[in-house]
Amino acid sequence: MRFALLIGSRTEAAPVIVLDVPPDFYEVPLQTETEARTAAQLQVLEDMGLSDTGQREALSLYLEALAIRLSRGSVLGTAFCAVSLEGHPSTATLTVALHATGTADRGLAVMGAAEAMRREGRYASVGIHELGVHPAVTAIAERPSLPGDAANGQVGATLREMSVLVPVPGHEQAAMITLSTPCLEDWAVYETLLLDIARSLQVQRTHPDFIH
Amino acid sequence: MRVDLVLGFDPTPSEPQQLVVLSDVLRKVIRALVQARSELGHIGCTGSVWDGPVGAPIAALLRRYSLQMSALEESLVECLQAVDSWRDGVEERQSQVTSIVASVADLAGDPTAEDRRTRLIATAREVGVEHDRAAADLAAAFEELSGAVEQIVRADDDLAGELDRALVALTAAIDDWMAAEAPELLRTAVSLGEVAGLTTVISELVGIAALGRKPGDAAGVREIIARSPGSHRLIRALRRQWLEVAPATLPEATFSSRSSGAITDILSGRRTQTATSDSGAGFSVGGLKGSGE
Repeated sequence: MRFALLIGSRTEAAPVIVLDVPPDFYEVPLQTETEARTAAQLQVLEDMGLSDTGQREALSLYLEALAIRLSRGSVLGTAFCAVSLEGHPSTATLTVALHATGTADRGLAVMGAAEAMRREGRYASVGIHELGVHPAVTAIAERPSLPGDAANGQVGATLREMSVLVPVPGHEQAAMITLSTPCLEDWAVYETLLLDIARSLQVQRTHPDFIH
Repeated sequence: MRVDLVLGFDPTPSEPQQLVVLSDVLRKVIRALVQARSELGHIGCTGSVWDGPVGAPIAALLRRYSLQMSALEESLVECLQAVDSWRDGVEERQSQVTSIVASVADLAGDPTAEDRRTRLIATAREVGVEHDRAAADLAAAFEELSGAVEQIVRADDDLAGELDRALVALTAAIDDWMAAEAPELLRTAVSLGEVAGLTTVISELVGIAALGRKPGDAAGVREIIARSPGSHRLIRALRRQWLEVAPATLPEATFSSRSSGAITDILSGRRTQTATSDSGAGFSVGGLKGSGE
């Protein structure tokens, strides 16, 4: 699977950011056209090989509700995996946004973002890395498994998440990629995976029609 | 047998153990310098945070510092070579002198051996002259090192001052950037985390994860339910426990190897396939949303 994020308007020569993501991840369909989105949702259900009717309906409803929720806001894509990792079930989600940095100076964006994330205090650790040809910020945090407090005060599992901010070469934009998992025993694998995905960032000039 | 007592002088004074210590120290300093110079040389390369207009002046200054370190390194290498050469020479000369001393001692009390004794002592003096010449070479190498250090100290440029000013400018640029961009950046980060949490619910619905609470109880999920065209059915679905219908087998993760290289291989292999996806054989091209102009 490739996450392809369009920079700017949908013109013929619009640059596209491409991230390579392993095929284990199922992308949540977010197409704006209902027909295309529904078809993509059905494809996800097929690809996952779900046979239980109730489960298929539940997932279908949730995917649609999630698509509606994400139709506003800065998040451009989200995907999840459900795999066997060293003999046990494991899951993680990958979420991508494109963020305007206000500068084409990638070093400034990285140093500024790292400092802002450090000062914010939400992250257990914040670092600056060189991922191939990309300077990048990484930030790791842990939080409850669902956003917002549970109404009954019940405490859920912990999600560990790592965000990587990679400025896009030649553009005043940065891709922000977050990987989140409740499977803390697999953290080292997911951490390496996320850095590899961030390292794969490329800018291509692709006709938008091809991306559909 | 004490050389000065037998010969009346010591032609090759030296402490070999101290030379070993000096040689080791020099090696350590050179190694540290090479490493530091290599790190500094990398600053400003593509992929580095110093590869940009704001960081470039600092990278340029540090590269200049790296050049100075290079000159120092050369002098230190020459010193090390001189010390090693001196040490080898000392061993050889002291061995010669030891042999001479033994011969002179053997001739003690023999009145007929005066000429031979004189010749042996003259040879010892020649060894001493050679020793002094080698010592002068060693001293010259250290004089050169001293000169190199002095040159760095006396350099016209105010490296520390320039570095200080560049760092102040960098700090100001970062502060300006944060004032303008940080709030939105942090909102995006929080939003990504929230969406990640919402997407994790899918793992519960497919029976992979049991996160120890009802998803529908969380504010974020309640918001999703409210927007769903089939909210009552979604509420019912989110109340169910899906672990009993969890898939019996899950596909083995393609990224399960813990080595980064293996994952990169997977990705690069797949990229090749994607490049040929026009033929329909590659991986699917992911969905796309515009960034919002």
